[in-house]
Amino acid sequence: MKLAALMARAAGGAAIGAVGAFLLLPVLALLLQVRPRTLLAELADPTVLDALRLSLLTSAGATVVVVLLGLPVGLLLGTREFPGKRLLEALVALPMVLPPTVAGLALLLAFGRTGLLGGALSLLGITVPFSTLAVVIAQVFVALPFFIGASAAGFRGVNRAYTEVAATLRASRPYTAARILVPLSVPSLAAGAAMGWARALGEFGATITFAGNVPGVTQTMPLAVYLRLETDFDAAIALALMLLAVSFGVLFALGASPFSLGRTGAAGASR
Amino acid sequence: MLQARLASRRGEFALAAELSADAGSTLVVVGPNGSGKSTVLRMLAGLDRPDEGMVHLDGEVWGDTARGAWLPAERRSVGWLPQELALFPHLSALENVAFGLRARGEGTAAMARAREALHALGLERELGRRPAALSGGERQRVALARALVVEPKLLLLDEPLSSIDPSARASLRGILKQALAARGVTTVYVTHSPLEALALGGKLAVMHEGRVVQEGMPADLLHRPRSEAAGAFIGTNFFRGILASRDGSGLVAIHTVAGELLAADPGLDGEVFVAIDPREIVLSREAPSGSARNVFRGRVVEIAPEPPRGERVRVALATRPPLVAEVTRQALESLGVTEGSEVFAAFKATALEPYQ
Repeated sequence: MKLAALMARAAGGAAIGAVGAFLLLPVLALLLQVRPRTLLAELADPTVLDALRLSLLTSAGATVVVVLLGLPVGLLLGTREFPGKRLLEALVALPMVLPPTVAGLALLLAFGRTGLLGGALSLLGITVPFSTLAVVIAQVFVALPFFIGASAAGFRGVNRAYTEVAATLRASRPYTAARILVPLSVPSLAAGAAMGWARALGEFGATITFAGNVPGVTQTMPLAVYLRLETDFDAAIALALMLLAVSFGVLFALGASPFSLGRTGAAGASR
Repeated sequence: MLQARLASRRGEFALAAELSADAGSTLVVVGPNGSGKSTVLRMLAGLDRPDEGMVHLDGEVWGDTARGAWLPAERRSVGWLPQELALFPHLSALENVAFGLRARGEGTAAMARAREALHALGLERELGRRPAALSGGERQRVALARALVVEPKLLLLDEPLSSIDPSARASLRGILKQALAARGVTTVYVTHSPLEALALGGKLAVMHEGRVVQEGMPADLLHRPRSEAAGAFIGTNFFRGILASRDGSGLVAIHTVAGELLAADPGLDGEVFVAIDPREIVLSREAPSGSARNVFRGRVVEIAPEPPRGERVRVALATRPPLVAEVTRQALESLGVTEGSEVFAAFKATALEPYQ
């Protein structure tokens, strides 16, 4: 019995050590192999700065769109029961399981020049593919499920008695959502937004399929890293490190990660 | 005036309750945990829907399943205090109370009215505090103010004193009674405590396993319980039996399933109920020589002190019929009676008034 317990502890410790090493090793490899001189040179390269700026702008824009579109869906899935709910949940999760290149292809078939909506859009004078708009659309598509999932979990975690009391006080559903549900779910909403943003920032497959690789217009950092790999390996390492530093810095500064999901809002657990 | 009939079935639990309360009065719904009291409140509030039933308030139809109508909470006019109170944790006491007024678009007036409502309940200094920084009694009053400030037509209180320190209950009950009387709002007050139910002094409805087994004023319930559940609930000896022989002496024999009792002739026939106040039963070690006509012999099964101080004790006896006597601890000690002792229990026939 004692031996078994000891072995279980050892196995647990080994697993934790292995995960730590497995997650840190690639980052360490990047750090060790970057050449400071190349890093400085790339930092001064206008095309790199363009890619970085484009990545930050599009991912930020996509996050705003994701939050605005995702909140009502998160409320619906998190607080109400209705027929077809399981189906809607599966549909919302679809972009998470779809390979990003397939997602890009699907977006192309929907919004492309010859796609389902392409004709209507071109009549309005809008061409989506290979534009910055396409980059944002691709990012929104892949990031939405992360935010919707996290926000629905947050809303579901709010004590039902609060919304029931609000109903007896004759508050409308939107009013209750704005004054009770959202404030009490802030940590989950922030975690969802952060995860969505990180997913948008790292978007590659759907972007290159649907938006292409036009420097300054659709070439985001992940695309730039991939392209450098073929021409200048050291430059690719430098860019990768920049991307890593930016995303880690933002997530750390906001204090938001998947791990803030279970935490409740302002004393949400107390009476 | 409130009139409600509610029936539903959830797995093993069946609810079938009928309730009524005069306009402006307080109906106390009392019963053990799990008897369906909270469910009744939730249905009155419009939070839950019964399989079948109706709720009428002051001539308005709030629900009638026969007509397919069941208004949701936001379209009724109720104040609901759930047992956990559910004060909004991120809002101050004042904002909590103002919530209902602001929700219907009252801007600056909302804050003034909320402040007034809190003042009326003696909370002048706690306006800016969040629920976590309030005591149990203060939270309770904030929740009451939040429900009352929107002037509901029906107030629903679910065990409002259960989370309060026992020493503070009496004073808070006083505040509550006063607030209800001043407002004149029709109220349904749920509690599991017979003591609390009787202290409120209004009409009572005793619930047991999803049914209202008795409805009436406290005195009526205390002296004339009409079911085993109601009898057990108020802690009295309750029997149902058949009136048997009259011997012309003004006494009658009543056959119960567990034995025979002698009672004053009520001039009734057929099935009757009998309640024997535990304090009317005298215990002794020797066969009593007095005038008591009902004498039973049996073992003491249990001795339980009565709250709050245990100066009186309840003595459960394995007599036929089984009886519970209530005596002072001192009396019991001078008799030398302990659990397992053989005793005689005696009470006068005139202490029994059978009723139907």
